[in-house]
Amino acid sequence: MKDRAKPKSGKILMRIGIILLVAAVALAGYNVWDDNRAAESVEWVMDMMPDLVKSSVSDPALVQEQSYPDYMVYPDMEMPTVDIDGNEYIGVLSLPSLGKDLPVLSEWSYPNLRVAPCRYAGTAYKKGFVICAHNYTHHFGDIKYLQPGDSLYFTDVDGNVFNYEVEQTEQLEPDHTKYMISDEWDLTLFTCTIGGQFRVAVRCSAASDDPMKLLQNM
Amino acid sequence: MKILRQIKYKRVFIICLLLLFSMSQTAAFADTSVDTGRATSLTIDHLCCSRVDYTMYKVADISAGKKITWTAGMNEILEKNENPISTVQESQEAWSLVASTLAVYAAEDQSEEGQKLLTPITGAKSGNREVFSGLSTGIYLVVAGEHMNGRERHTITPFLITLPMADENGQYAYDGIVNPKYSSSPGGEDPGQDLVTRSVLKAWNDNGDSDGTRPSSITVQLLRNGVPYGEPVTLSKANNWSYSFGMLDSNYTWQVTEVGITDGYTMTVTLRGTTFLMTNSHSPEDPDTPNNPDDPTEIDDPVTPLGPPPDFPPDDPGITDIPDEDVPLSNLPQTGALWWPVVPLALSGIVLFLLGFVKNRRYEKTHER
Repeated sequence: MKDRAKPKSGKILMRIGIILLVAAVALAGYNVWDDNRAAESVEWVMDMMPDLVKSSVSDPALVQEQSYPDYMVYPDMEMPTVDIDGNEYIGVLSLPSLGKDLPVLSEWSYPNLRVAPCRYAGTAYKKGFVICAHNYTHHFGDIKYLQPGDSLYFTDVDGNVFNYEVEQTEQLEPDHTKYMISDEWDLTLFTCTIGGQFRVAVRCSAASDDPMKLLQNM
Repeated sequence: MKILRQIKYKRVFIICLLLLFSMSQTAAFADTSVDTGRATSLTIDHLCCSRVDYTMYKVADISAGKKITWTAGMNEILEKNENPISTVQESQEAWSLVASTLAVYAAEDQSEEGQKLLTPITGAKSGNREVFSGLSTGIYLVVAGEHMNGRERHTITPFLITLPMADENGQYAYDGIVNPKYSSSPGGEDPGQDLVTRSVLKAWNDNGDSDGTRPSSITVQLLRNGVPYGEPVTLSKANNWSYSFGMLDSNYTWQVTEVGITDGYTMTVTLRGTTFLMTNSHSPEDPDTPNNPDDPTEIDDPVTPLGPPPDFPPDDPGITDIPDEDVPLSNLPQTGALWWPVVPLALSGIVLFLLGFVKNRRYEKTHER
């Protein structure tokens, strides 16, 4: 009797092992599919973005300086949006050191987060601008690799470009909402850590807007 | 039959392992990095004439991740002139200022040993074009002297250019073509003194003037070396809260100040390019959500700097909820894909499979004996 029980238990263990492995493969496969879908989603949105935003994004040095855009006079104004496929976008976030240009949705929601990064709080016209996204490879999966001093910029749908520089990266607990949206920083990007337990936040300050300071010795 | 089943299980096991391994290698970033090992070229197309000699200087390197760093020669020049110019500039005008500055340094460039710190690069002429080839990736300063075209004097503004160039689709052009800007003036005239324009723009950071305290106009005074210069000007909605002062001698320091700062507002001034941005900030009280005087974290004046980031107690009933409905107060959203269970599932599966396999093998060996 004992001898007949052994092969059964061995087979059962092997079958359970196979099932668990198949589950791991299936979950990994789904994540990969979802990641690629997210990449295609932002690529499609970027293709649909108005030319003004796209031309500004490709080379911020080529942006034609406008005569006093409205946001300079009225920084409290609502950010203008562009409707693409029923979703409202406020502009494009560019991360040159990561080689990415990502559209940013005006409001966040879980369905929206599957499409593109979303504005979580604030506005580009003032401090306390916060953008969140899933940690998909093609969304914010690699923002943890941003280093202090790395430059990034945001282009709104009117073509206004806002330059930022990374100050620091920190990890926060999920209930540190008020601290996350603090206007101590000009821009914050955040996403989940791999385990999903914490949030990695990249804090950025606006790049210097006083070129005369740089030429004081002229 | 048993052997066939063993083989089937092994095949499934191996296939699963291979699939997991391949998926772990799928992290790939879109390849938009700069190919720093690739040679570039620049063709300068001077539309008006061919009597222009251009010179290029490499001033910065670009990494594959598009990070800009000044070259060693450039760093030495900036240190010598005590002018730490940042590689991050906000606008095209700011970069133009940088290009003009670097052009001056390049003209005066000489190390203590009498050698040039920036190596001038000359091109090959072809009609109205000058071609620079075999260039490494990076940022280049392009300068040219004045020249006459008939009765016109052409002055070409120094400019900076990145190689490779990025086109409107974000694609890189490793062989770039540019048409430099130039200004023309009647030939033979003395350019005269350098004149500049300074503008002033008033910005209102007051929640859209919700409490009606914003004035209908303000008065601004131009200062030359700190002394009032000219008549004060009025800014209002009629002139879009802005004014430009032209024909100013660049040898002076020009500033602006508001005459009589509006009650209830605090003002900050920053310089953006040639525009003084004067921001008046005011935080109107919201009658629907009165401030809680017992709440130590409530901030009335938005200009008051926030203190250091608070500690993160798990529960703090003393913190008042933020009344603005647009600001979410719930926990930060879950923005992670479900990767964490994959490894435990896979490891458990491998361990259980191997345990079962070993059990079966031992039984077979015992049974064979």
